[in-house]
Amino acid sequence: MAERSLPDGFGDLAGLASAWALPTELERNRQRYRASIDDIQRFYDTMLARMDAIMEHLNRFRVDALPAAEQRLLYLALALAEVAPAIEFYRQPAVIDGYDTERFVPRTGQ
Amino acid sequence: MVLNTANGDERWHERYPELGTQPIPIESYVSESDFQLEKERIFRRVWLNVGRVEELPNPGDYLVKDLPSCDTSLLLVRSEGGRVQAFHNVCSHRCNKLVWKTGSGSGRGFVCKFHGWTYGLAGELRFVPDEERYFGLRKDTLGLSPIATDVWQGFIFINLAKEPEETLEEYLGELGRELGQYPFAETSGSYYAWTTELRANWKVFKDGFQEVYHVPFLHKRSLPDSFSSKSNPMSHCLEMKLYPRHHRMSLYGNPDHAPTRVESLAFRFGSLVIRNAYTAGQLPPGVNPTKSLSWSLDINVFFPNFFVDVADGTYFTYNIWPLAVDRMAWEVRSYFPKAQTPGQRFSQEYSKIVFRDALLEDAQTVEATQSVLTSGAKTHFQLHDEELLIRHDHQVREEHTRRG
Repeated sequence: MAERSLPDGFGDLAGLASAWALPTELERNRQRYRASIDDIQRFYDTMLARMDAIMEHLNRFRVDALPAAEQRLLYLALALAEVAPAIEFYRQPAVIDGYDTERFVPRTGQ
Repeated sequence: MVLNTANGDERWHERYPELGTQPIPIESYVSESDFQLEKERIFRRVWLNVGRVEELPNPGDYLVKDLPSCDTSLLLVRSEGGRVQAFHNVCSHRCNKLVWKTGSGSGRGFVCKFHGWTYGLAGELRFVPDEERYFGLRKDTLGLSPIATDVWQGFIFINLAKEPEETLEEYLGELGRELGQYPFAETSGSYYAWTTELRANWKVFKDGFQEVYHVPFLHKRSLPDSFSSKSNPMSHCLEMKLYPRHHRMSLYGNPDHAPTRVESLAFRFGSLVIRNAYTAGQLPPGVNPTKSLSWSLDINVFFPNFFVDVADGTYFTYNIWPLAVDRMAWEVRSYFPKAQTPGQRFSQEYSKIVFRDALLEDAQTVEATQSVLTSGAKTHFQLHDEELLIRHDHQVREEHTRRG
């Protein structure tokens, strides 16, 4: 199935993609809050090491004309943006002393 | 005069001595009668932002938005001639809500679910089933009830007064003219939005977003050095300016901010809410008014409930809607130029996620304040010099609710 694949050269990320390549902010945020900080750290470390290659590959395409495998790789990259505060600010999945993220509802299909 | 506020001796309050320096009373934040007065004398009388033109780009596009702060539901329609007009979303027959589903859609007209009364895009009543059994029904007088509507820089405003006291341009005034030079059209191609309902008086919320005295404390994890530095540890503003109803504060940005690893990646592909590429000269005079190179963004607050906070290459808005004396709705939007490349999309995602998480810190405090506000422990708020905008807002609100 095309939507389960990643572009050639990014097969090493397949395991992470099955958990983290999610199409919306809501799903990525829920995955962040579900995961342990150790899992998030592994995801963060692996992705950071690959981001230069990911961006170089993806930026050959227009964002509104991505093939399915590239779209999935972009979702994976967007999940890095989602978890960055968990690693870089809070050292835990949730915002410390934060408002309930389930009450802060994304309105567009973002 | 450009004031180097980070080390300046002048206090903002000295520029506006008529406001005084006394603590301000809590009463209007907890009083049911004040809440009713605000609805009646503010929200039903002034110009209110309800959306942007990009939400209904083509003739026949419409947007349904419930507006409980004004006891109505709006039907915004782009007519065949291209003009955006708001109507009360109420059928002329027996007042059924005409379109039930909120959000945007497109069509050639509107049919009431209840008895099939049909309206055109200009709000005109086109068809009444079994019309001949009515009693002298004058269809030409029974169109949808229009609401005063105007557009400023792509932002759609409505005014529920039968005859607005001022035009939108007059209402937005000098701040509207200064901020109107910002490249809104170019910076609105991609946007991300969130909504939530908070258990708080709308002014408790508003006050928290028109001062940055809280930033080094409440946001010490998420924004440790974006808005403060060794030379400006308390995030003192670059400029504050009060207009008759509105106000602006221009925020310091730390040029030596140490980016995180993901921020550095994101910043390669675009401006971020917490960091932009401002150098000099690329923004109009009404943005970053002191033209400081240590600038992050301007908070522009249009009375009563609309924030337009602009940075270089990105901006965000808040709309605050009172629902009850202790309940409110909040809409947030984070705007960027249209993302063309996956890199830009990633950059925007990072910007909005950091922004969102910082907002979650703010929102929690708003509800925490509200939870003890009616305790009777305190009767007044103590205001710091950097909280001038809260003081001004209090005065403007008082003026509006006192008038008949």
